[in-house]
Amino acid sequence: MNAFLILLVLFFGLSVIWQIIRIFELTSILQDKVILSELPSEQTNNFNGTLLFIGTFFYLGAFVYLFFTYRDKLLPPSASEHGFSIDALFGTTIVIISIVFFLTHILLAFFVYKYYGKHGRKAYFYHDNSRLEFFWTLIPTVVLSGLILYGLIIWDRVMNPSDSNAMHIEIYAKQFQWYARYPGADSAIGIAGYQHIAGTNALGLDTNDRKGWDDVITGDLHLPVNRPVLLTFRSQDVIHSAYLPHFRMQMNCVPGMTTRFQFTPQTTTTEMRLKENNPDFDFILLCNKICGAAHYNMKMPVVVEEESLFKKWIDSQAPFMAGRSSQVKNQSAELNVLPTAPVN
Amino acid sequence: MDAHVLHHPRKENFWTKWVFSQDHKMISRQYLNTAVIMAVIAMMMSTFFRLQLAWPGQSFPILETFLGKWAKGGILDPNMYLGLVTIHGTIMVFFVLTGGLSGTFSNLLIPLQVGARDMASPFLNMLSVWFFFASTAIMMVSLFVEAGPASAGWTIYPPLSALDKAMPGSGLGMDLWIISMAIFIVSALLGGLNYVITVLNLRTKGMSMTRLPLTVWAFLVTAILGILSFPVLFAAALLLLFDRHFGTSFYLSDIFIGGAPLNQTGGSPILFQHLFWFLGHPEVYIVILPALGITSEIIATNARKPIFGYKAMILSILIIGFLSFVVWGHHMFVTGMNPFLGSVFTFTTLLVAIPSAVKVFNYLATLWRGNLRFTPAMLFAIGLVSSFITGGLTGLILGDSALDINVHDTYFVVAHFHIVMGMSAIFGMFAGVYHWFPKLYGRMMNNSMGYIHFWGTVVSVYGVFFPMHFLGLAGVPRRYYANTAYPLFDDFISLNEWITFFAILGAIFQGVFLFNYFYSMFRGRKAEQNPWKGNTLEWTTPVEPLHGNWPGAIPEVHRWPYDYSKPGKTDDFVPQTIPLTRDEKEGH
Repeated sequence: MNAFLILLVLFFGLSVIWQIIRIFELTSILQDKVILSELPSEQTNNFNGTLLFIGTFFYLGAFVYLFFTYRDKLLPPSASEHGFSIDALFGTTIVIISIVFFLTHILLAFFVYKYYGKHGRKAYFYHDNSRLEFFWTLIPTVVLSGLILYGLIIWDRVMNPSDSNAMHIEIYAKQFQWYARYPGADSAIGIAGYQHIAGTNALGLDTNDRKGWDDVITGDLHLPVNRPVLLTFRSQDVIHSAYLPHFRMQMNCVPGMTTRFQFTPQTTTTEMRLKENNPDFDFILLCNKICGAAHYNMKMPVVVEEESLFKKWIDSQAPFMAGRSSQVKNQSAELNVLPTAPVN
Repeated sequence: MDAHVLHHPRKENFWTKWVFSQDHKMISRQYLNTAVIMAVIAMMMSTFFRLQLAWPGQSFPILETFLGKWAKGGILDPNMYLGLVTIHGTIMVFFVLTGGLSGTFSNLLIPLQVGARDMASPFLNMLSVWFFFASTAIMMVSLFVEAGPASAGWTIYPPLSALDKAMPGSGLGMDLWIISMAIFIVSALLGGLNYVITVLNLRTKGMSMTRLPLTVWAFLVTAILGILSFPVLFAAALLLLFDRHFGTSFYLSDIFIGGAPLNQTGGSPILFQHLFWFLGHPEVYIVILPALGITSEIIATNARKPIFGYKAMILSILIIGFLSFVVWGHHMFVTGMNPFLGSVFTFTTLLVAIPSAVKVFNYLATLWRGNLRFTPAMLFAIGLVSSFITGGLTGLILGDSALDINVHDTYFVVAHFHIVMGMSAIFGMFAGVYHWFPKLYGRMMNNSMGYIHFWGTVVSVYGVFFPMHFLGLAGVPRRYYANTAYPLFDDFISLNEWITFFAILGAIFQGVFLFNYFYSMFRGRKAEQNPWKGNTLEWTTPVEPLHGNWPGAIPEVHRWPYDYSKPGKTDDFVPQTIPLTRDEKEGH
């Protein structure tokens, strides 16, 4: 009912505006100011042209204002090695974009202001110039070639890191929780698959695989500083996306396949707190692929610390098999019979 | 059938004239009015979720009025939030900017501008509009399903959309979404085939391909894109339906959900994304090309100047159309796709910037030394040039795989596509409605209200979407119900409030348009035959629309459509029907 009343009021309000406009139009016709035509008068053209001119500069001004207001937030501070090269590419691209953005908009503003319609003036009949056409095809082509090349070099460097002895950590996603799995003393993570999931074994570790016994499963992600880490990603149910904005890292977690991303964290949480002058600063891993009602709350704290602190932390965590009774083994053995899919 | 003689069809009754009409102009109006209603619904949805985003968890009684159990106590339910986001996107992309834009203007302008009595197949054309209507109706029904409408985002990625245990919206609501979309695709194909055949076969005498207005070129390429890409989405949706109900596993593998392992295994969720974006990316150009065509025509007419680089414009439309089929992977850079494939898609994607830049420069050159008449249509066309530049440029960031890593699925993407395809396409649509209203209803829209509408809209749309770039760069993910759990994003609370303020302001200004549109339909001033002094053939038809378009023979065409302000002519326009004088050279 309320909504209906609002609509009714809106309708009558607009009717009043319409009638006022009509009265203005009719009186100006009486005063012989307007020829009865829908074509805008010289005055109207001038008015709108000027407004477009001012409006465009207001728009450009707003861009500059927002840019400088949020300058520090324009990409959060980078904390990974490759993050800086991505930021450099970003900076170059932004500069090119801004130049084109300003140039074209200033031209647009000047043209609409200068050439607003006047009575008795005729437009310049000019419709082709192949040299001009060639010129403004060539320039974007050259600029883009450079940009593409630069982008591809960075992409290749980020996706194919040379360091092969990285520490392997598995990131595991399910609605609506993140887990990290560390390899333990044997430096290898054990076999896991969805058919082994049962009870407290949320990640589906195969208890017959001894490599998995010393794996450490945690609810937050600790990374040693300056050491390459290879993250592999799995998902239990739907697609999630592990997004680490400070590390310029994002990778989808897709059920049925394992994805990967390797990088080197360069700044510890403590260093970042000092740098940002914010004692509450924390790195974070967010879910960035729509995954259900609590998608917006699916996150995992991330801590980057010195190697020694990291070692202390990982040693204090219980390995997977600790305290696990034979009952667990039986349970998963039973479950093994159910689905017939092969283990990944 | 001799197209040059007007057939007098059997006497029309109420049903054949107003409901099951086979007249392309009536069908065009039916498309437009359906789209207008859809747009209002989708816009209201966006203001609802904007309220939640600006003031998370606060109570707004209006939400309970409209959404009932989904907003108990005026607080939006997180499931319904996702539902609103999903349906808003679906309606806007498919029903408003595909059905509404192509459906309305291809139908209205193709026969009128190529000089045909009607579409090649008026009957299929009628089926197309009714399939369209049916699909919108089914989508509306899905809003009232017990467990809610489809909520997996407009891209409906499985497994989220495939398993009803994954979210409430993946139940009956999802089925209705798929069925609605399948019917919509049938409609789009029937329409598209008609457009292509009409342009290729029913052009009047003298109307060579290089004398076609750029609108028609844009509609032609759009229709071809649709015909080639929509069937792929049809297949993808059908396979999804199979996965949902018949135990197949095209998209499912290794899933443990609802406390049990899923029996379906061996498929790949990434397959769906490939199929979806094979449509999804050309779809972006299906949305923007008609708007660019409309803009070309309106800018030339109102600058009283030939469009600059006519042939370059056609060529760039064709190149954009071609490239649109080889760039879909840029939506999937972070899916774990082979990085080499990522490189290829980066390369092809950034190439799109070249023909786009050519188009922008040609628009600017057309405005240069023109005699610009700022009708509301012209203002919206100029607004499109601005938004096409703004939104296009940020594509250079998103299309670059290395940069996409950090802004993928953030508000930066939301800002980018709302400006480059949402805002641009809807501006093209507004421009088209203001410009061709006389051809739709034989009356004029009110100019003053048009100006109020334009200025209100352009300010609020930029106010909504421009700040979103900054949210996205800071890492705010899209489709989040609230950012309250992230101190990282606390600096953006006020910016979010501003965005919502502009969204509501923008919605109010659309009220001005709606009023103007419906009021002028019945009470607007009667139009003259050629109110804008245009060259194209639609302005040679009588003011009162007529089934068959021309009362006498179909006019013959003697020149290209852009002879504006030609030296040596008394008027500043020369309609296409005027023969060349003896020593006159054709315009281009």
